[in-house]
Amino acid sequence: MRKREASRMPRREGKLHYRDTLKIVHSYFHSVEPDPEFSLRLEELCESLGAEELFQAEHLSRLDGTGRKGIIIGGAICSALPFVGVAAYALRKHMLRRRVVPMSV
Amino acid sequence: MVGKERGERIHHEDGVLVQRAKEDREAFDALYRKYLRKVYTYVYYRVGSVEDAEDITESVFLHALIHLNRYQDRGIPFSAWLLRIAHNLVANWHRNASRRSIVGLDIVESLTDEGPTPEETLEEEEDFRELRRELRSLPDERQQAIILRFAEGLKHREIGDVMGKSAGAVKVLVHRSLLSLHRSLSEKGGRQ
Repeated sequence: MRKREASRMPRREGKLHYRDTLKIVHSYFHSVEPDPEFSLRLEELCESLGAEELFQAEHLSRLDGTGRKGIIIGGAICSALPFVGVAAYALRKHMLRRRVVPMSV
Repeated sequence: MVGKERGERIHHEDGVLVQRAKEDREAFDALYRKYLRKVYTYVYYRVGSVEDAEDITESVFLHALIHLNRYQDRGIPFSAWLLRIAHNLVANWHRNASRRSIVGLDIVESLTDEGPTPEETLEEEEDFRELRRELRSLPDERQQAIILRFAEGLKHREIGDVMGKSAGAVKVLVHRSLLSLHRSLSEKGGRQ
């Protein structure tokens, strides 16, 4: 961890300049080291069973996702079928009405 | 130019590590060790408490591990991808209003210095306390830019990768954030 540069800190004797703010910001921020115990625990979690389970869970969820997608597409097709029937019927009627019938004079 | 070459080398190394981790999950360990401190530092300064920083950092790495296959190297470095995950999780954390009252940054408080006298330390603490307060009052985007620039030491281009902005836009954002902090600190100092 970086040591604070206390001796370079601006003092409140006069007006605070922009560069003083910059110095405060520079002194305040530093790289923070996490607790070694936490680092070790998380590392173990990532590399051991945790990771295994997570990978399996992802695989299963992907399978679930595929199945769900199929159901949604199938459902959409089935729901659309009556409308397709009605449309076909209407189209047929329309075509019949437009047929030119020769009339005898 | 040297910095750019170094950045490209790190990008390439990360690409190799990510590819290896996609095939063999135990290889993720190398990425974890490389970026733990970076992610933790960012999260810590955004949430301000060790416990929450640990929780969120844990979530970041587990999230990265689960979705590693989704990471495609399209010019965005792996570190930027991780920091984006961290940013999203921190944003979720901030949305939870009940947790907003926690004010921490306990590591900064407990630092032991060798140099300054007690008076100087007291003044520093005061400066830091004010800075912390003003930093929290900045919009989310400005806080993110300042932390990435000064705590992580990222370049404008690298911050741009994380935030999805151009280097020029980041430069302006960082400058405006600093100006805003300066104005607030000056006003506080004037009132004292």
